[in-house]
Amino acid sequence: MMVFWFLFKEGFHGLIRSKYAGAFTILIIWIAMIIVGLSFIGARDTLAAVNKIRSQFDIDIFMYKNATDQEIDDFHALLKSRDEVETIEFISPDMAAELFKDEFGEDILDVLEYNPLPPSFTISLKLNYRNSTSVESITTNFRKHSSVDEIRYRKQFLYLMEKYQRSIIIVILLIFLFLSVISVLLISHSIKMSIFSRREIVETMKLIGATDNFIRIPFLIEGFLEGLIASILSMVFIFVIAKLQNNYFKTVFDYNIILNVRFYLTMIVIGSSMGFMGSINAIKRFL
Amino acid sequence: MISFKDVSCTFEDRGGIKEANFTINAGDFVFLTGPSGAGKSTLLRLIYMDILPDNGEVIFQQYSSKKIGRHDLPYLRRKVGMLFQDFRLLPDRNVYQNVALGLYAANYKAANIKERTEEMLEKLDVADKWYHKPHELSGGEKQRVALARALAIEPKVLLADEPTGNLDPRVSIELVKLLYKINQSGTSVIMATHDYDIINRVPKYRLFQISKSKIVSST
Repeated sequence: MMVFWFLFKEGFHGLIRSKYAGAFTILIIWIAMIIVGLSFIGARDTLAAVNKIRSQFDIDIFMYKNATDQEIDDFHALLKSRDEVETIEFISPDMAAELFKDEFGEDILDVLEYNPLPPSFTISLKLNYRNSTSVESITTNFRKHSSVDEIRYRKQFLYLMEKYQRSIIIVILLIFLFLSVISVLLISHSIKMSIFSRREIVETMKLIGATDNFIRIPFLIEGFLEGLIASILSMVFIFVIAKLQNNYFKTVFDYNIILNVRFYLTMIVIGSSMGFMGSINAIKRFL
Repeated sequence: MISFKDVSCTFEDRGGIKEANFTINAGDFVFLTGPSGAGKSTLLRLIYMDILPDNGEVIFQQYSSKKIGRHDLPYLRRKVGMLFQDFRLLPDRNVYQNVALGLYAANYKAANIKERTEEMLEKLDVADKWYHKPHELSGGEKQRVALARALAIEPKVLLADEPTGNLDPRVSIELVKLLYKINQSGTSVIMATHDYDIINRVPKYRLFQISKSKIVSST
């Protein structure tokens, strides 16, 4: 336990002793974490926007004009029984006429002298079922009902949303992967430089009988601390960016950046891990 | 304690050691002499197994160059104290920290480290330099701190590679007298030097003369 405490102190002092090399490593991790953090916010909010658009997808089911109340009730019961259905709204012919009036400014009874609008249901599906395969299967099933005349939904819209969401996720993953690889390489390289400047210390430690772990642990702690400091600094930077956007630039970009505890914790874990992993990779060369 | 059996270890550019056969016993004081590049440092490096022989076998206590693994090296080196011409003190640590580091590395009990370090600094007469960094010390003081670090772990053998190379003659003689005193308490000493003046300051010693990678005479 005392030895571990000693090694922890060595790691902490190593950070102070390394001076410029350590500061450079923190700078590199700081830049990497800002890029990763802002990309993460961009990715998160883009996906949220896509999901919001998808949530506005609904299906209109038109009944035959002459469908009886019993048939409508039966179909309503069927809709309620389906797990895929999230919300159901019944629109009677009178309500449809009201909507028509609201939309076009004329009373359909005045124009045609009768109400041709059929009773209908507008339903929305749960998020998991808002895809073309599920919608196709569900609507095919509903069409079999004898009182259903027609089912309408934005098939093309659904197809395009699916296509673009997949592309957006692939692009985001590729950007993340690229940034992560570049960040780890840069971090590892700057830590290597930091350790290289102290290679004689490593050599001396070996000569006095230090085990590989005894030499390695302080450098790992140092890398972890560098990552931790850099991630805290990058969090402060992103926090300031978010405050500026939310308070002063919202009129220019109508966009609210939301930062929560989970985001901050993720940043700390990623930043510290980058420092730690970079050190593991860098110290290997010198042992 | 240390045996060389037909040991050869040569380098492409120059130097090394060829066909070395000898035994060094516990308590011996051995001087390795010869011109620069003769193979003195190679011989010392073979003992602490910084390099391994191309042919033959080096045996130090229970460790054999033929069987030693990477993970055994720290344990071998805890039985060997080392002194170098350039002292090899850590420049960013003070005298106390330099000596204590060896004890931490050798896995000494934390409770004993301070006491042991103090004892060694007193013994080597550098206790008043406790908080000094190496660059604040004279050559002789640096070498005494290095010696304190080497002896703190109670080594079986002390290897000294031209330890007087950076010291003036008076300090060199003092250091050799100190090494002899340490030897008298049971620690073997193997010292590489080409300064015959200091050899004569030791009353009882063995001498290995090395020339062109070969031990040409030994006592």
